[in-house]
Amino acid sequence: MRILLFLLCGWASAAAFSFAAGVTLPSGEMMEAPDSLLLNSITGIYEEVRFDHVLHDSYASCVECHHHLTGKPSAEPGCNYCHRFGTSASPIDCKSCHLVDRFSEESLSAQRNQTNYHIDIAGLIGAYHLKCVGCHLSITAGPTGCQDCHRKQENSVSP
Amino acid sequence: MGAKFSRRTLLKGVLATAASAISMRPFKKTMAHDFQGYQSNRGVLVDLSRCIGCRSCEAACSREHGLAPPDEPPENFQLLEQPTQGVRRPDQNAFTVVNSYESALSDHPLFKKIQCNHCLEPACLTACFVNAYTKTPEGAVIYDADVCVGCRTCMVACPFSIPAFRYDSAFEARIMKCNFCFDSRLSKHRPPACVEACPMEALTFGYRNELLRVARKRIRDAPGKYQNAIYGEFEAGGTSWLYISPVPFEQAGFDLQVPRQPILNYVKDFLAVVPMVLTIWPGLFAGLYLLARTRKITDDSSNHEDMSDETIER
Amino acid sequence: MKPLSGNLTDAVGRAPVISGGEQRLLDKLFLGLSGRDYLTRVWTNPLNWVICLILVIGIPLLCQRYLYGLQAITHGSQDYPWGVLLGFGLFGMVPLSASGFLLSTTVEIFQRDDFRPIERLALLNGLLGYFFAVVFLLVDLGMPWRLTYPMVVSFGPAAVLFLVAWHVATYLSVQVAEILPAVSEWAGWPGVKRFILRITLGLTIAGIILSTLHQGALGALFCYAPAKIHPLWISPEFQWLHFFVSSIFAGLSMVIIISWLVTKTMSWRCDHRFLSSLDNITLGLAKGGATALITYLVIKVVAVAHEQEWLLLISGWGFYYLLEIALGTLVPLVAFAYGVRHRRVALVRWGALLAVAGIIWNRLNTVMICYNYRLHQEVPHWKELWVVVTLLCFYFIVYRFILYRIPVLFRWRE
Repeated sequence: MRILLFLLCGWASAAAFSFAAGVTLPSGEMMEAPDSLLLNSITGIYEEVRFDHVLHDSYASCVECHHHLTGKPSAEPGCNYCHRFGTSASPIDCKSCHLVDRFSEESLSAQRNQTNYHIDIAGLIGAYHLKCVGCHLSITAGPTGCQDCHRKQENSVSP
Repeated sequence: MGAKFSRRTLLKGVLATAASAISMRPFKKTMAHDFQGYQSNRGVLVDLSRCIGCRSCEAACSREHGLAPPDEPPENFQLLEQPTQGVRRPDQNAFTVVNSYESALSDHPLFKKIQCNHCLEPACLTACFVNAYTKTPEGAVIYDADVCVGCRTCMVACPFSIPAFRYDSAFEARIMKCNFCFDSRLSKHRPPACVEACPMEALTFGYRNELLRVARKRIRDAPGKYQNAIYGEFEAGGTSWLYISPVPFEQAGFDLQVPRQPILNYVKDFLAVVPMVLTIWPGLFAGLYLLARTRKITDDSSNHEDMSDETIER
Repeated sequence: MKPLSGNLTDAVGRAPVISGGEQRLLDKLFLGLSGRDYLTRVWTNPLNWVICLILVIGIPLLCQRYLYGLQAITHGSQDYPWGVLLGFGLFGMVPLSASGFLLSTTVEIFQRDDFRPIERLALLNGLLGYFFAVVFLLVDLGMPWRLTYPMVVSFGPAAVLFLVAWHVATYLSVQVAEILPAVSEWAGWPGVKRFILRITLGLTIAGIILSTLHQGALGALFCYAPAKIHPLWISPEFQWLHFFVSSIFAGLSMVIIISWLVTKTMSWRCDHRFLSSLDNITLGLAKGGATALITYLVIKVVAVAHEQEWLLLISGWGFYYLLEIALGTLVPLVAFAYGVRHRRVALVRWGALLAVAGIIWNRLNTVMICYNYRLHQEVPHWKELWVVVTLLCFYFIVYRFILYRIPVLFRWRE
C-alpha cells in the first residue's frame, strides 16, 4: 500500500547520508566526508538519488544541514540556547533522528512525552524535502522539478 | 359543541395532550453540557508555509477511497508554479482539494488543503435527525450512508462547507465527505492517506493536544515566520485539523466568520423553548377555553337564537 | 367547471335519495352527473388544458428525477443544498398552512363562532399545505424512501429537524382527524364524526403546541448556519419567533386569498352562510393578521438592534432587506389596518396577496438568496421551477377535487 502511495505521490526519496566533511567524533577521531552518496532508504517509482556532497559543500556550510552535530554552533539561533558550542554526534546520518517511519506509536508517544523538548522532528522524507526544496527555492535556485533529482524507475507504473 | 363539553372531557383532552407531550420528552435529550472532546482525539497540523501545492494528497485520497483521480496529475510538477484555477471545494468526486492563494506578504502562491476538519463538536452531527454521523474517540467524524435520508441539513450546518451530496444518482445518493480514513487507517492507529503521501510533511499527524503544542513551538521557534494563531484551535468549538500560516488567515482563504463556539450553541436557545411550550401551552389554552366558554354561556343566556343554530350544526 | 350550478347544487349538497352503495358513491364522486357529462365538463374547461400542458412536461421531469437523481432536474449545487423545491415547497408552504391551527384555535378555544363558516376551509388549507410540503420533500430528499427513518429506524433527538419531522408527522395526523368530521358527513360515517367532536379540544390544543414548535423549529433550523446566512436574515435568538409569528399572518392571509378565489370561481359550491359572512370574516382575519404583522415588525427591529446591525441596513443587502420588509410586511400592514377601519374588503385581499408573496420571498431569501451570500448566486434550473409548478398543479387539482365534494364551503344536509 505504501508503495502504491508513493507511486501516486510522484515523489520518492532516498536516504543514506553517512558522514559529512571533517567531523570530529566524540572519540577524538576525525572523519572525512564522502564525495557523494546514494540516498536509498526509501524508493518507490523513483530510483535512489545520487547526492553530490562536494558540490553542496561549496554552497552551504556543514551546520546548515547537520544542525549542531558537527561540533559547531547551529545556523538556527533557536538551537543555540542549548547547543551553544555544538554537540557532535556519531553517527551523524539524517535517519538517526529523522525516522523513516514517522508514524510509529513510538514516535507519536515521543511527541506526547511532556518532558521532551524535541516534539517536532520531521520524518526522513520531510526532512530531506524541506531542506533541499527550501534551499533550492530561496538561496541557490537549484533544481525544483521532481525528476531533476529523482529518476523514474524503468519498470514503474506511471502515476 | 360548547355545551357538549363536560369538565370530564376537558380533563381527558388535557391529559391526552400532556401524555403526548411527555411521550415526546425523552427524544429531546441534548448532548452532555461540557463536552471537552476526547483525549484520544487525533488530528493533523497543516503548515501552510510547507505546502508546495503538489496535490499528492489529493491523488492519495482518491486512490484510498476509490474516487476518480484528480484532473491534473502531479507529473513533471514544478514547485509552486501551478496555482489552481479559482477556489475549488470538496465535492462528490474529491474529499480533499488544494487551492492556491496569492498574498502580498509572500513571493509565491500559498497552498491550502481543505477537507473535513473533524470538529470536536461537529455541526453536521448535531444537525442530523437520523444520527448518521458519529464522532469516534479517535477523533474522526464518520458518516453512515445506510440511515441517511438525504435532507442535506449537514451541508447547511457545516461551517466549513465540507459535506457534498452525490446528486447524480437516484438510487445511490449519499453524502460524500472525508472520514479521516477511519475504516482503513485511523482505527488501526495509522495516519490518513493524505498525510502519508505528503512529501513536505506539511501535514503532521498526531494527538490533537500535542499538535497544539507542536504548532505553538513552531510559531515560537521561528519568530516572524508564522501568524501567532492556530486556525482550528477554537473555530466551531475546536477542530481536529489545525492550521498555521505565514500570512493572515483571511489571505489564505480561511473563513474568519466561523464562530468560535460549537454550532450547537446557536440552537440551544430554541431547544430550551421546546419543553416550555410542551408544558405551558396545554394548561394555558385549556384555561383560555374555559374563560371563553364561560363568557359565551353568559352572553348566550341573554340572546339564544345564534347558539341554537350552532348546536344543530354540530 | 362553472356550468355546474343551479339545481345541481342541490343534488350534491345533500345526500342523494337513491340508496344502494355503489350508485350513491358514483353520484358523490361525479357530483351527481353521469360519468360522460362529468368528463365533458372536465374537457371543456380551459384551465384543465393549461394544467394538462404543465403536467405533460412536468411528469416526465419527475420521472427523470427519480431515475437519474436530483442532478437531472436541479443544478445539484454543493454550495446551495436547499433550492426552490425546499425553499418554496417546505419553508414556504408550511407557514401558509398555519391557517388550520389558527382558525381552530379561534373557533374552538376562543369560542368565536363568527369564524365558524371558514373554519373548515382553514383546516383543509392547512392539511393540504402540509401534505404537499411533504410531497415537495419527497421530491427533494435524496433518499425519499427513507422518509420515516427518523421515526422508526435511527434517531437524532438533539437535532432541530428531528423536532420538525416528528411534529409535522404528528400534526398531519391531527389535521387529518380535524378534517374527518367533514369527510365523514360526505362519506356517511356518523360514528367517526361523533368521536372526533368529543376530542376536538385535545386535538386543537395539540395542534397549537405542534404548530408553535415546528413553525418555530423551521426557523431554528437556520441557526445551524449563523455565519453563512446574511446577518440581517438570521438572528439565532429570535429566528424561531420570526418564523412562528410570520406564520400567523401568512396563514391568515392565505385563508383570505383562498376564500376570495373560492367565491370568484366556485360560488355555486358555497352556501349562503359562507358567502354572506365572508366579508366580515375577511376583515376579522385581517385584524388578526395586522396584529401579527406589527408583532413581527417589532421583533425584526429588536433583532437588528440586539445584534447592532444598523449599519448593515445601508448596504446593498440592507436595501434588499428593507425592500422585503416594506413590500412583504409594511404595505400589507397598512392595507389591513386601513381596510379594517374603512371596511375595504378588496384592499384587505390585495394586502393578503402581498403578505403571502412576502412570506414566500422571505423564506426563499433565507434558504437560498441570502444563504452563502458571500459566494456566487445561483439561478435555479428551469426544470426545478417546472417541477415546482407541476406539484402546485397537483395541489390545485386535489384542493379543487375536495372543495367540490366535501362539505367545506357548505353545510351537509342529511
